[in-house]
Amino acid sequence: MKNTLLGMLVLLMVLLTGCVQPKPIEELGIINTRGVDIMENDKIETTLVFLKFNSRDQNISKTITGVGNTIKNARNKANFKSNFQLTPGQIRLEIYGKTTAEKGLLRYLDTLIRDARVSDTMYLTVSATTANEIITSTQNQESGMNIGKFLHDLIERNIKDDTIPRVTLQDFVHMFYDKGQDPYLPILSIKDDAPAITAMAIFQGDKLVGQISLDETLLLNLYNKTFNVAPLEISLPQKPFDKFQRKSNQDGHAEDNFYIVMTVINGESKTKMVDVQNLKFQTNINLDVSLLELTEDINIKNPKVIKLFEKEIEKDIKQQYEKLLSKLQEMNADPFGYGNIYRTKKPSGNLTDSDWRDKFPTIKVDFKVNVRILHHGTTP
Amino acid sequence: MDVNVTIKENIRIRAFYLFFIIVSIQIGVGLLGAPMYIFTEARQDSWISIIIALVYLLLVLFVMFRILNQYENADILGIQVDVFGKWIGKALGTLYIVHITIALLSVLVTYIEVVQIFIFPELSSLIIGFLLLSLIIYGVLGGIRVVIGIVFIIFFLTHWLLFLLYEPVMRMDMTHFQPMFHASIIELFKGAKATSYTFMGFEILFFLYPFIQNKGKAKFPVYLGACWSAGIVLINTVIAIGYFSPHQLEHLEWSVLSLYKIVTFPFVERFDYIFVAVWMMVVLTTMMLLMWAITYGLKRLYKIPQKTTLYLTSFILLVICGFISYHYLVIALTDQVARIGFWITYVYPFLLLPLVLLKKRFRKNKKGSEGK
Repeated sequence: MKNTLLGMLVLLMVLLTGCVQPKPIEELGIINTRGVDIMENDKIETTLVFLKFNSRDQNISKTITGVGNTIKNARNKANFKSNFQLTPGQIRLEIYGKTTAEKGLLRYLDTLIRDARVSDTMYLTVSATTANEIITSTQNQESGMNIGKFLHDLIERNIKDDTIPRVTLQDFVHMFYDKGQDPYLPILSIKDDAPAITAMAIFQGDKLVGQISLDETLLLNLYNKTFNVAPLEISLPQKPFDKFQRKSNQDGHAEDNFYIVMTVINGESKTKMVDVQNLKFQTNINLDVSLLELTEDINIKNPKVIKLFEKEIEKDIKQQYEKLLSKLQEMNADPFGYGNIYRTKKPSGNLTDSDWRDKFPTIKVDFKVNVRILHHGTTP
Repeated sequence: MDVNVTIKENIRIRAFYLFFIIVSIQIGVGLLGAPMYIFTEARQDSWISIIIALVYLLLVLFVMFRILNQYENADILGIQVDVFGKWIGKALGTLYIVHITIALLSVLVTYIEVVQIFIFPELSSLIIGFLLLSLIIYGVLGGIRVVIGIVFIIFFLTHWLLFLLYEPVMRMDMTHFQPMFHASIIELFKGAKATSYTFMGFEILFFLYPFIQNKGKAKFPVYLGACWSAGIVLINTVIAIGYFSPHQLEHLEWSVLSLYKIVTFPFVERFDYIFVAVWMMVVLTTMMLLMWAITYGLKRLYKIPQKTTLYLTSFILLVICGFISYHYLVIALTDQVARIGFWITYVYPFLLLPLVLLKKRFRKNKKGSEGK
C-alpha cells in the first residue's frame, strides 16, 4: 500500500511538470518599462525596455519597439524582433507620450486593470514629447545605463522625498474613478541628454489638459498628504525685515526680495466645506518648519522676528495656493479633490462629472496657512 | 435509521474546536468577492449590512442549538427523519447533501478560476481540480479528527495575512464612507443578504453536533467563531471601500485579492501570487469539511461506506469542474448556491424549530398518557 502510494507520488511529480509551460529565466525578457505612443494612423507604438539574464552578455537591458492596434498586440509584434519571450509581470513604469495623454488614457488603463498579472504598484508618467524619445535618450551613451531602472528610481526617490506625489497605477485609477477629483502624473523630459522630472501633468478625467511647475507640485502634495522632511524655498520681501538687518548691504538694497530655504518637518492640511450653497471651502495648512538658509543676514534672535517671518511666509504660501487654484480652475481640473468633499456634503451623496465641471471654476477656497518656525539652525 | 447516534469516545472532539471549524468553513472563496456584492447593494453603508447579517447569523445559530438540544445526540438527518417520517425525512436529508455538494463544487471552480486568472492561465481546470481533490481525499480519509486537526493548524498558518492589509489601510480614502447612513433599510437588508454566500457553511454544526464531547460548552465557541468571521469580512469590506473608488469596486471581482496587489517586500515584488497560494489552504479546509459532511451524511442516510462516496463524489466533481470553464458559469453557479442556500441555511431552521418542539410535546403527551 505504502509503496504504491509512493510510486503514484513519483509518477505525479514526473507528469505534472508537463502541465505548465516552463519559463526558464534565461529565455525570458522581463519588461520593466513600457512607453506608449500613439501614431498618426491611430496605431499604438510601444517601446519596451526589458531585462535579460544571460551570463555571457554584459548589457542586460535592451530596448525594442512594436506597433499594433492594441497594447498587447504591439507587444506581440515586438516579440517578433526578439529571441526572448517578453513577459509583462514586472513592468514598473509606464510612460505615455504627450499626444497620447492628450487623447485620453482610458483605453490603455483597461488592459492594466484587467490583466491580473500586471502589478498595481507600477508608476505612470507622461513624457514631454514621446515616450520613445525618453527611453532611447541614453542609448548613444556608452555607459550602458539601464534606462528602465534609472527612470524608476528617479521617480521613486522623488516620491520618497515628498517632492512629487506618489502616482502608482492604483493611485491614478483611484483618482480617475473618484467623481470630484482629477488625476495628475509626473512629466519626464530630456535635460542635458538625460531624462528628468520637470513638471506635473494635470488631467481632466483621463485627458491631459495642462501642467504645473514642480514648486506648485509641492503645494499639491502638501495638500493631499501629510508629510515630513521636504525642502521648501520661498522668496520674501526685503522691506519688513530692514530694521533687523545686521549688516546692511554696501550698495543699498539691490533687490526687493530675498530667499529662505526651510525643511518642512511636519506638514498637514485639513479641508472643510463652510458653505455648501456658495461652494466655499476652507483649507487649513499647518507647517512646522526649520530654517536652513537665508540669503540676507538677519538677526533672528528676537522672537518678534520669528513671528514676522512666520507671518510673511504664511502670506506667501497663501498667495501661491491661490495662484495655483486659479490656474487649475482655468484648466477646469481638480487634482485637490474639492469635489470629493462637496460630494460628501450633498444629501444624495452623488456627483456627476459634468456637474462638477460646471461648478469647479466657481468655487472659493480660503487658505489658512499656519507656519511655526521651530528651529533655525545653530546660528541665531 | 436511528435518530440519535452513538459516537465512540475516541473520535469525539472538544467543543472549543468548533470555533476554528466555524471560522474555517465560513472564510473561503466567498470572502474574496464579498466586498463587491455587499457594496453594490448597500454602498458606503455596507458595514452596517454586515453587522445586521451577523446579528441574524447569531439568531440562526441560536435556533440551531435549540433544535439540536431537543434531542439526546442527534444530527439534522436524524431529526428530519424523526419529524417528517422515514421517507420525507430521508428525501430532505438527500436534498441537504446535494446542497452541500453543489456548494463544494462552487468553491472548487471559483478557486480554480482564481488560479487561472492570477497565476497559470494555461493550466487546465482538470489538473488543478485533480490536485485539490487528491488533497481533500487525503485529508478526509483520515476521518473527522484529522480534518479538524488540519483546520486547526491552517487557522494559524493563514491568519497572518490580515496584518499585510496594513499597506492598503494606509491608502484608504475616508471620503468614500460619506455621507454616512445614506442607504435605505431595504438596501441595508439587501446588502446583508449579499453576505449569505460568504457566511454559508455553518450548517456543518448540524452534522458535527453529535461528535462534541462537552456539549454544554459548545455555544460560546460557535458564537465567537461567527463573530470572528464576520469581523474578518467587515475589515476586508471596509478596507476595500476605502481603498477602491466606488465605481472601481462595483466592477471588481475578487476585490480582496486585489487589495494584496500593492503589498510588496524587497524579496517579493508581487505578494498577490503568494496570497493565491496561501489561500489554497483556506479553501482546502472549507472543502475538506464539506466533503466530510457529504460522505458522513450519505453513510448515515443510506449506509454506504464513506470511502466509496468519497471517491465517487470526488470523481463526479472532477468531471463537472472540467466542464465549467466559462466565467459566467462559475458566477451563475455561485449565485444559485447563494440563492438556494439562503433558504436552506438561513430560513429552514426557523421552520424546523416549531415542528421539532411540537413533535416533542406530542411525544411527551403520549408518554404521559401511557404512564397514567
